[in-house]
Amino acid sequence: MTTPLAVLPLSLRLALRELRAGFRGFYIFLVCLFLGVATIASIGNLSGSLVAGLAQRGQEILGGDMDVRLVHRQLVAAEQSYLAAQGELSHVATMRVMAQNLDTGQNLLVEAKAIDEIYPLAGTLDLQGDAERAALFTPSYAAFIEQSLLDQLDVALGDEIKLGDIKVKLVALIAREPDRLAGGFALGPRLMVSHATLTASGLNQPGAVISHHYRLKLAQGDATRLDQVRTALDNEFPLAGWRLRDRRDASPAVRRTVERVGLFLTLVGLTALAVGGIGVGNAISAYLTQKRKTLAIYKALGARQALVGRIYLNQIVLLAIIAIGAGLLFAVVALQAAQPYLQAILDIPLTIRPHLPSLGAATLFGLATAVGFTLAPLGVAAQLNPAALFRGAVEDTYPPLSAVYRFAILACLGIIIGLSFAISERADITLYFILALASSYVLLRITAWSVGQLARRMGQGGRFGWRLAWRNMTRPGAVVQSVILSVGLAVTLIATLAQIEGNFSAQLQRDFPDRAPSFFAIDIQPSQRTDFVAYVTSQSAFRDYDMVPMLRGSVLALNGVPVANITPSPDIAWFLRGDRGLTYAATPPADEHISAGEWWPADYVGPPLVSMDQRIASGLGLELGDRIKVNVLGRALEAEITNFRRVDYGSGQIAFALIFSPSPLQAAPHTMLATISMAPEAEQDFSRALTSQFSNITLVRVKDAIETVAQLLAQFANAIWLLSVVTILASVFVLAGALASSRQGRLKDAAILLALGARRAAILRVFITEYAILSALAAVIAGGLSTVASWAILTFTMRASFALLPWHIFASLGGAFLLTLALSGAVIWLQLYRSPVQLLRSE
Amino acid sequence: MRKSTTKLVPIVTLSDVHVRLASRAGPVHILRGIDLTINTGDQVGLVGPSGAGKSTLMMILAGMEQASSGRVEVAGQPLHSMTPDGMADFRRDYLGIVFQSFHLVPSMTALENIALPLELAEDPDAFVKARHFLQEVGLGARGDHYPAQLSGGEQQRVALARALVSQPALLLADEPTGNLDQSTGKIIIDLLFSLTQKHGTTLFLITHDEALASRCQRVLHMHDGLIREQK
Repeated sequence: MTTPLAVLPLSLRLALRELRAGFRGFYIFLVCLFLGVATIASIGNLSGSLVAGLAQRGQEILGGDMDVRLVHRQLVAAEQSYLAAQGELSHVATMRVMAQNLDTGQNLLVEAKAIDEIYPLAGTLDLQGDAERAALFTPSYAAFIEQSLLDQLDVALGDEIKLGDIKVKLVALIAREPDRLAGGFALGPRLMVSHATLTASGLNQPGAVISHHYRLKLAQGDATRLDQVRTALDNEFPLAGWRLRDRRDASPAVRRTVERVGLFLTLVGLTALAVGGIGVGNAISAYLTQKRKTLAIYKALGARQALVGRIYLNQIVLLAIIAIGAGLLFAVVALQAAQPYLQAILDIPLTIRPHLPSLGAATLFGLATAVGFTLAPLGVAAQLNPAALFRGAVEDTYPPLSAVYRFAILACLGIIIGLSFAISERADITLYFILALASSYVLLRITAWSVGQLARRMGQGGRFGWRLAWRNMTRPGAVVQSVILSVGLAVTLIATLAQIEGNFSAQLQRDFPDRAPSFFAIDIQPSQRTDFVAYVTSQSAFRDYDMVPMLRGSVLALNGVPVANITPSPDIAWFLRGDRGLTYAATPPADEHISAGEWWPADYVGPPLVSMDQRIASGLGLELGDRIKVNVLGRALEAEITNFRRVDYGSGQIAFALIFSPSPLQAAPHTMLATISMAPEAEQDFSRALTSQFSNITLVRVKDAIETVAQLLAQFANAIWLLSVVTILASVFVLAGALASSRQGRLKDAAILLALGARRAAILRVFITEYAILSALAAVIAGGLSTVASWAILTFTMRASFALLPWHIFASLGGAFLLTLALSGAVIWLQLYRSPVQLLRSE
Repeated sequence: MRKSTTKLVPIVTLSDVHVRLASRAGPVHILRGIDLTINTGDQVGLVGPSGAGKSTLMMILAGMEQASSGRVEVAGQPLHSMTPDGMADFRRDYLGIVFQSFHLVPSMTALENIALPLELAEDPDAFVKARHFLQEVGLGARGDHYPAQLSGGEQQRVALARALVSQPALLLADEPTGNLDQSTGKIIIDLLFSLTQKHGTTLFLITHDEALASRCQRVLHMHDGLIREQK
């Protein structure tokens, strides 16, 4: 007779036979794995879908096949005609300006955008109601705006507002702006006008910070053609100083943000998987203990070690596939269901589709975790000789794990680590995370071992209940390691997040506003300088001001090496990307320290010199005497680095990475940038008055900007907290699994104690004391680990200052301690409620 | 052919066998120098009090325990110098074991339990032979039942069929009636003797029961880790 499964390998046949009995003993395994995989797959699927969405809708987001951006200046005739010959060309200009309510004088920073009649080259500009886009191009000045402009400026459609030197009528509400994402970080609502209107406003003065975007729609827009045009533009106009983008990566800033947020969330998800892995290991250990007899039977009947190992490994892999499959299904289905909600929150085009690389990564993470955490208990069980398995606990020395198992565990670990790096564009962050997780794991294991040693001593004396609680920690199947590892890792994560968030919000919403000025004023014409200073300093609420020249330029080369050939360290890569604010000065900034080299003489005239931020210079491997070439207004300017400065970008004061010697730049068209500190209660009135006086000057109120940033950070923090709940859940399941696995031993003890006259409450106290000791120790270690981790993350990764926040630590640790105690107390009470008596009857 | 059934050839030879086990409480010296020879086809009974080392001796003969010192040769295989996998192969090819607690795999049916040793030996006719032995022990109709659905006597019959299905050279039986009532025990013992005789299998029977042991051709007495008396 042959069975239908006879074609399968023997180990798989026997594995399937065993699994016919059901998943009893595997629930914690399944849940822990499901949680970890579902979390990682969901994050990966979401960020993958977002990035894929950005790529698919690249033409619409970019407003064409290619975007040529210039700051300060427009195309010259030769450039214009060259570009126009490549395809359809559209011109869009953007700048931050002040809009003012004509009746109340109330003003508002808006993101102005001037468009031409063929805008947009891709996608559609949708207006609410029956408004016609032609209304923008009539001789009268008109604007399309977002609803939030009406709300914040307290005006209505049909009203006129002041924009620079002119009055502009608000004619329609924008329902959908196809290239909104390409605009980057918005500090105010959109105001869309024609080029003629912007010119008439007088805001576009020489040196004003205005970006000109020339969108090109190619007749044949395939990838080869895009590359051809890019290369031709670079070759034809090497000093144009423009930034080229094409539809394949329409919004790199948004993509990078999505990828980076995705990375942080994935790391939180990996912590959940690591905690879950402990549950996986415990569950397998408990399962194999329960299966000792069957293992012994296989061996007694002549099964080799490898076969026995394969039988159980097959079972575990089959179950892992079920858990992973469920996790992947959840990631796809739940995200699909949440799509409208996510779309509303994220404000990014979103079409959730199964993102195969992310799902593949989650699968590998799940499998490697399941197998990796399984191999140690499996290896021990498979190696034990059958006599010991039959005998039970007489022989309690275990053979060391064989080389095959050790190698396989290392391979799983290698897969997890390798995959963590593969999915991350920030290897440094991933490395810190892995180091932090590994050292936490090792330290907690050492703690668990030490507790075992301590328990042997403490179990020798003291009151009965106290002594018994300690002795419970040393008996076979004790839960010391499970509790300390799972509670410890989860609490470390929670307390780390709490401390990072606490530090951030303290700095952003309390410390930063204290140091920061009230306003940044941009686009001050040099000719306005004297009047502006006189006006500002004459205000009764005036406290302080600072003013520096401001230009924008991009880095072209370092020591003659074009930036395209330079790979900077990730944390300073921004410096070589796009435009930087530049300034010049005769004397060093008063509040910055020269860390190396000498500042030039105040009356220096000669070849250009530059002072550079020391951290960026060291990230780029630059030394004093090296040369940096920048493009300012289409002109290449190469300067020698003569000194390094320590720059604090978080000070709230004006800070530049590059400060040039005055001689070459002061002749270039530029504007001034000022910071103004006022008495807080006078800020609104001052802002209104200044805009009335100097209509071309744009005021950025620092409090409003902080509010915008704080809102973004709060969204990010909420997402992280939501995910850390998964880690807490995983830890709760691990704890529940540990409680379940030690149930039998505990019940036997309880039954005997009950028979000898102990009260149920007294027995409960013994077990609760055991868990109280363990969770308190885990919490204390986690407190230390989380403080070190948050200090390291804030200092090295986020470049922010760290302050010890005792209340945040205490709240996280106390909460975790109480939760552990309540959970273990409830489970043990339920176990003890009836079972010991039943056990006593059956014994 | 791997098995030898020729009479008067030693199938078991033990010389000065010691077993010491480690435990947290200190080493335990279980076997203290056993010398023993059993010929092919013999039926040997081993009696002795609890803790005398009977089960350990059986584990040594089964290759499930390594002797701390001395020579152990079963069916021509030097068990004292074999690897764990070598001993597993030895059990698969030469040995059948019946335990006091039956030790059936609870997740397998009676038929699957019996077929298991043949499956391990990659015998393509495993289930045909298993069904035949199931009938030999009188459980032809219970092949699809799981151990939990069988009585103790029925479980031991399945265990007996499983021990004999691969026609081993040596059958080790450790207190096979210890968990059974008297009448069921007698049925099992009758079956044990008749099947081993029928298949020419050497029998090594461990028991507390002197009367049961006396049904064997030879009876050994064990006390405190030594075989003190031989009849």
